[in-house]
Amino acid sequence: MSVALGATPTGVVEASLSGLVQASSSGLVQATSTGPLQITPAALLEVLIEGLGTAGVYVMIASGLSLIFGLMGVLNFAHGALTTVGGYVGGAVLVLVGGAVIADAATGSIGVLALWIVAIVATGLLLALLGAIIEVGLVRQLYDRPPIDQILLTFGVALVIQQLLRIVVGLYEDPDRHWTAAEAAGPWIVQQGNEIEVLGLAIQGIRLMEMALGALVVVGVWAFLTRTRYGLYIRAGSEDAEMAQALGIDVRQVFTVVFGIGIGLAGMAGTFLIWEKTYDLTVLMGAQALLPAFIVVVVGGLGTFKGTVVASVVAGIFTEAGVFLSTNYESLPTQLPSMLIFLLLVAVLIVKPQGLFGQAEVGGH
Amino acid sequence: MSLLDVEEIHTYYGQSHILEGLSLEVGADEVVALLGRNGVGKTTTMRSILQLTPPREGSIRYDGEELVGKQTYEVATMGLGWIPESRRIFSHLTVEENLRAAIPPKSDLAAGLETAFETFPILEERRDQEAGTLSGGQQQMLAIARGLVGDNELLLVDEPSEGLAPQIVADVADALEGISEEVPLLLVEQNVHLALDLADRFYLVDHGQVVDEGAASDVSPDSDRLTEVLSA
Repeated sequence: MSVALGATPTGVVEASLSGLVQASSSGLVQATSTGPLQITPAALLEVLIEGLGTAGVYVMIASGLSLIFGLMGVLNFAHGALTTVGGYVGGAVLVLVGGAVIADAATGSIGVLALWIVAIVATGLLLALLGAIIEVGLVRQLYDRPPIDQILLTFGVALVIQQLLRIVVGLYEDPDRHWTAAEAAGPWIVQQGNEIEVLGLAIQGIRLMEMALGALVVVGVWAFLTRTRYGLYIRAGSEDAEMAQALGIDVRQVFTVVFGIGIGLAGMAGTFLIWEKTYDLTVLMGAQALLPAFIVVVVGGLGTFKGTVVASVVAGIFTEAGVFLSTNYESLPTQLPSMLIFLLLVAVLIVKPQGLFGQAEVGGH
Repeated sequence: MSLLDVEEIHTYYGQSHILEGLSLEVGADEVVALLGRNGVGKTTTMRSILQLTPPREGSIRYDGEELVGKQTYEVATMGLGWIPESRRIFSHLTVEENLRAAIPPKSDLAAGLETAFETFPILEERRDQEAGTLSGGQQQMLAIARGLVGDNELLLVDEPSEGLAPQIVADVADALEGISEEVPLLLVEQNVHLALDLADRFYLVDHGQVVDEGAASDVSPDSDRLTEVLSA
């Protein structure tokens, strides 16, 4: 999780946070177990950049969860499993189609980069279609039933997907080990350790890509919600689905589209997670991805896209602050990043139980 | 032939039998009032017509076409508009967005907005304001305007004066009177004076059935014929 800086910062910001971390002579914060905490601007910048990258991943996964809950009132426990499917689909496109150009990957071939983009887009579209099929075939049947039925259904779908993945992936790879061939088939820019200099800062390529795609998702979803007729229907249906129907809006069709978009975004995120070093592409990756996404949705406020975006940034920075501290201060637990975002969740639930931008009631059909 | 023909419908909420064989008709150029105490099934009648709470028995024909079994959005796109009790505007959408949501995709958006703003000029002044921040009267105007812009050929209007100040009620009544010259109305209203002023005919509902009906001009709001049922 390092961001090497092109120049040593001149100023040092000091903060007294329990004497955890001390600035090193290189300008970055280094671990000691005894000295007072000194955080340099470079260290803050590192956490910020890493945090924004993580926020990009969170927002990709959590946007779908938030849209689906906001409109349909459905807590989709299959979201993580479908993220995993996205990872394997994207990986398969790269491994199977990209065989001819993989050899150029180390040189940052435009061909590999183009294939990688195609793989992400194709995965998004395929998963969107799969999401639409799941909504029409399964979730739709339970709209008039109590929420617990929907939770049990999506949880069951998650288990079925996980087992199917185990069977299919098991034919070719070890389903419980990271799929290294897919990782190797990615372009140079997303491979671990490869950095790009931006404004004098050397930033990991994967972080740049996460930020870029996260920003693209935020702008795209925001424009869709606020600038299109369908987006208007989604926002109207999120407030009062029954009234929207009485105005002639086919809310069930809107549900299908939103479910498809949500799962498509999750699938794209899944492809990204292949190169994210805190995740391993195994059949269990979904469970790992789902938890922070749920936390982001709850912290932001159930069903609010603005809340999801803000909470993704906050949770991303909290996570990376935890990573930074735990890697630089040896006595801190490695689980500190998870602890910090759980603390964030607890704090928000105590101070503002409906979340940062939450409404009293959302969803309904 | 009536525009709307409701025949012997039986509607339930779970096991509760709410409408017990209710029948009514609305002609193509009339205002019909549904009168009755709270809880006798007036709003349920509207929800049944819109297929929000579909009847288990009976028939509802609109312009000769059976509505029972259709989806609510299909009923709405056939030309039945609903101005519901408690307004139910989309409070986080702007005034204009509320109207745009109600204008059918194939209709002229600009013409629809113009119709709404001509009828309620205050809405044009507040077009970019979140609807939830409007006053109660303005919210009611928005709810009516939403029904107006939907290319509707029949409007189901539920308790339009509920919770409004007397002066605002008069404004709303004037607006409905103007609208009724172009679009027939089925009106549910607790304010019997207002309902009978607007209506050509009335149905008196009790225990999920029509117990009386007639021309609005034939009854006074304080007549025994009405008060015996309404104050029971």
